[in-house]
This record gives sequence, structure tokens and C-alpha cells, in this order.
Amino acid sequence: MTKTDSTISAPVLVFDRVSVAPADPRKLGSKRTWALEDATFVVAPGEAVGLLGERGAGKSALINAALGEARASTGTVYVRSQPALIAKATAFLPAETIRFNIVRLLQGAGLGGASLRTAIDRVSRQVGAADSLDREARDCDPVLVNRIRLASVLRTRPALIVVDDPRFRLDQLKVGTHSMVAEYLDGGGSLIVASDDLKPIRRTCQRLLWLDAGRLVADGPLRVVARNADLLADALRDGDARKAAQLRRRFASAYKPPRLLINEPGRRKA
Amino acid sequence: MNATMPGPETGTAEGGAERAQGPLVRVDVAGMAVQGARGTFSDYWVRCWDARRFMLHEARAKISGRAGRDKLGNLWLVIDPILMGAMFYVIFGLLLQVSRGIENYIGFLCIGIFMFTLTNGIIGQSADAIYANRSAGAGVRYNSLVKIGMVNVRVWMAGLPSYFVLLLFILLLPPGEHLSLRALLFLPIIAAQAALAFGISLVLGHLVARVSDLKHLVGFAQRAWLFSSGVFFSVDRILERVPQLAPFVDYNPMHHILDMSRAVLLYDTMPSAFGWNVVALWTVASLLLGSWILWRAEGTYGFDED
Repeated sequence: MTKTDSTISAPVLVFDRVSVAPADPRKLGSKRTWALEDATFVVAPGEAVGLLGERGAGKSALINAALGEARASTGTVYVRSQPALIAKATAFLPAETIRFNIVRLLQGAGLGGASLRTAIDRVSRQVGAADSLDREARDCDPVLVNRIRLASVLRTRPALIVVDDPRFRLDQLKVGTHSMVAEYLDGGGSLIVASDDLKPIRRTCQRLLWLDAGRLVADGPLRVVARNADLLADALRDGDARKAAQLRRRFASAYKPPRLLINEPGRRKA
Repeated sequence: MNATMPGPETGTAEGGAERAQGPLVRVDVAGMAVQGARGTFSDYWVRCWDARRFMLHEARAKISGRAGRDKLGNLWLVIDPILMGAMFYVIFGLLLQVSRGIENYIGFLCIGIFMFTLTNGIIGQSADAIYANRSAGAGVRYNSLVKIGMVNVRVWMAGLPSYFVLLLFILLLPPGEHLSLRALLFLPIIAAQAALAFGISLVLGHLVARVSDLKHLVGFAQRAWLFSSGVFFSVDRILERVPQLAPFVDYNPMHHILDMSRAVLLYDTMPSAFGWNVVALWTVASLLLGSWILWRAEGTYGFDED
């Protein structure tokens, strides 16, 4: 029996030493071998995890590996169920009505017929959008649209929602005084919020994953990791390349990625 | 991108080895699926079938979105083919009065142009579908079959009115054909045309996703295809001069689809069994081969970097 430091049961997402090849295989001569290199982390139910990294740090590679859009070149990604994505690419079509957009989203999740109509009804009642259903999305209040998007995604009962749009501010989405996302997290749902700055992350997440140049350099409580990220951002803003490199080395050496002992079905010992 | 950043290469080479070992964590993955693991081949098709409502819904949105700023909106889907047919009638029927030895040349020409335009449109527009739709789907993941199918459905739906315009032209323009019951065979021909276009766009979709440059060649290949399909004139005229090209014509499915359509709509004759066989062979082979290649390569086409 191997001695383990802890056990995580019923996780919603597991990355076990995952490396992902660069985004566009059609572009020859990419600058890095891996878009994401050797990433290991686990997301537990009810957890809200921030994913910090600047453009090109590997956020998209990580997200796409989680969604199954990118195949892990090495390592394994385990998912509880197909994660839902809220991103620019999945935004409501502005020239279509709200109803059309809800249908589009829910149909994608396999709903149809009576269950689709019930779901639209529930969404519209939940966020008070009955008057807006037949208006074009571009004519509606953007915060209301985002509330409707989140409510529609929640109707598909995802175990994990990935938010990859800095303008999608989860903390602003309330029904009455209830935060929609807090309710989702309390119910055991999990969340990943990706961004290149802390603004959309800070008020929703307790834990922060930090990506730099394709590698995870930190994984811990938000306030600790955020402080380090701020230090590096300051150094970069001042143009102090030496200090930035120094900080990077310090953070990287302090980060100890967990080693996972996967209990695979069938291989489990009673 | 921050220009002052030290290059990402610094330290990555030796980074892996010097990494400290973290805590050992036991993770129970019972009930979880390996993401990106390949399902069965039949499951791949089932996923495409499951997405049928989404594809129709999406197609409608794209078509009306495209017409969005036009005052006549979706009416253009009807006006376009009418203008095209009218132009050919005026040029070939009234001004040049050519028939090139073909009975009802205007009808012959309209069938060729309308139907080839549609097949061409489907294949041309879905060539880049995998890349163009790399992040499509309202937050849900679709396989490449759906991404290409989406474009097929959209172009086909937008082209549907042109079939009616075509029939109208054949009935109304002189000599004004009288359709017999045999004209009903046009329906399976249309179905075969759609299936064939889907099959070919699957194979092409994979190739273009791999080597983007190929999409520039698709246009040229399509033009060669146009001339070997007998859109403007009977291919016999080419074969009389260069009989060596016969296999390219005999085994060209689009040539047979046009031939068969003309047989049932213009000349009230039975399409040849050989024609059906060639079309069926191409359709089944391209659908199976195309979807099999896509299924094998799923997850390796790259992703949206933004």
C-alpha cells in the first residue's frame, strides 16, 4: 500500500501530467513544443478555480483539453461529464431573438420537444426575461443577456462550467439578491474562470491556478497566488526584466505539483 | 503580448527535471470518462444524428443572418436563381439562339448550372468548415461530422428555392416541358446529390484542415469538374476529340446526376442503371471513407487559440 498524503473522491475534472500540442497544427514552426506542458491538478465538486495566465500562457490549451477539443499528447484528462463552456465563441447571436438563442444552446445539449419548452419557460421565469424572449439579443441589456446565458447553461446540469470571457462577470449575475453562481457552487457544481487579469476571478474563486509560458507555476489559495501574480505584474510593468525572471524562478521552484495516484475502475483494490 | 517579457523558452528545457515532487494524492476516477477518448465509429454517426436539430436551427440563423441587411431579405434566395436563369435565357435563347445540337438547350443549361452551382457551393463552403467552426456550438462540443454537416445543411437549405425556380423555368420557358410521373425520380436524384456532396465535403474537409493551402486548389479542381460534368454542353463533344478522357466522364458522379436529371425532367426517359451505380458507389465510398478519416483524426485539428 502506497502512503498517500490525501484522497480526493468524486472529482469533476482531473488533469494527470497533461501536455497539449500547439493550437494550430497548420502553422509550421511554432515557437514552443507544447502549448501546455505537464499540467497536473484536480477540481473537486463545488470548487471555483481561477485560471490566470496572459495571452499565450496556455489557458486555451488547458480549456480545450478539458472540453475535449484538443487531444492530450501525453497524460490523461478525466471528466465527470462534458463541461459547459461560456466564452466569446459561445455568445448569443446578436441578430437573433433571445428565444432563438436559448433554443440553440439547449438543443446543443440534446434537449428537444416538451422538455425544451419547459426549460425555456423555467429560464425565462428564473431571470424574469419573459418580456425579452422575442427581442433580438443586441437590443437587450447585456447583463440580462448574461443572466439568461448562465441560467440556460445551468439547465443543462453541467458538473463543471468553464468561463473564458473576461466580460462575463459572474459576480454581477443575480436573481433578486441571490448570486446565481453561489447557488450553483453550493449545489456541488464546479467552476473554472479563465482570465489574463484577476478582475473576473477575484470575487468568485477561492483557488487560483497560474499558468506561465505553458506551465503551471502555482496552484493554491487565491490570496497567496494573487499576491505573487501582482508582484510579477508590477515588475513587468516597470520593465524590470531581471526582477521578473527572478520572481518567475522563485515561484516555479516553490510550486510542487501533486503526484496523482489514480484509482482506475477495475484496477481498484477493495 | 507583453514585449518586455523574457522569452518563454528560458528555463523550459531544464525545467522538467528540476521540478520538486509534490504531495502524493489519491484520486478516485470511478464514474469519470477519459476526455477526448475515441468512441466507436457508429457512435460517431449517432452523435451527428443527435445534432440534427441543432444543425437545422443553426442553418436557419446563418441564412437569415446573411440576409439581415438586405431590404428583400430571404427573397434573394428566390430572386438570385431567377436572375441567373433569366440571364442564360436571354443570352443563349434569345440573343445567340444556339442549341449546340441539344434538344431544349435552355432546359439542359438550367439543370446543369443550377444543380452544379449547388453541389459546388456545398463543397466549396464546407472545405474549411472544421477550422471555421473550431469553436462553434453554443458551449457544446460537436465532432467534425457535425461541423461539416452544419455547412452542408445551410448551403442546401439556402439553395432549396433554386430547385423550385428550376422546375418553373422548365415548365414555363419555351418549349415548355410537360412533366410525367417519371419526374418524381428527380426527388431521389436530389437526395443522391445531397449525400454525394456531404461525402465529398467530408474527405475534403479533412484534407483542408490538415493543409490549409489546399482550399485554394479546391476552386480549380471544381472548374475542371464543371467541364467534365457537361454543364454547358454535352460531354460527347469533348469525347469525340479526346476519347482517352472517357473514364473521367463515365465515372464522374456529377455527370450522371445531371444526365439523370435531364432524362427525367426534359426527355422523359429512364436514367441509366450504370449512372445510378456510379453515383451510389461514389456516395457510399466518400461518406464511409470521409467519416472514417475524420473519426480517426478527431481531436487533432487544433483549437481556437483566442
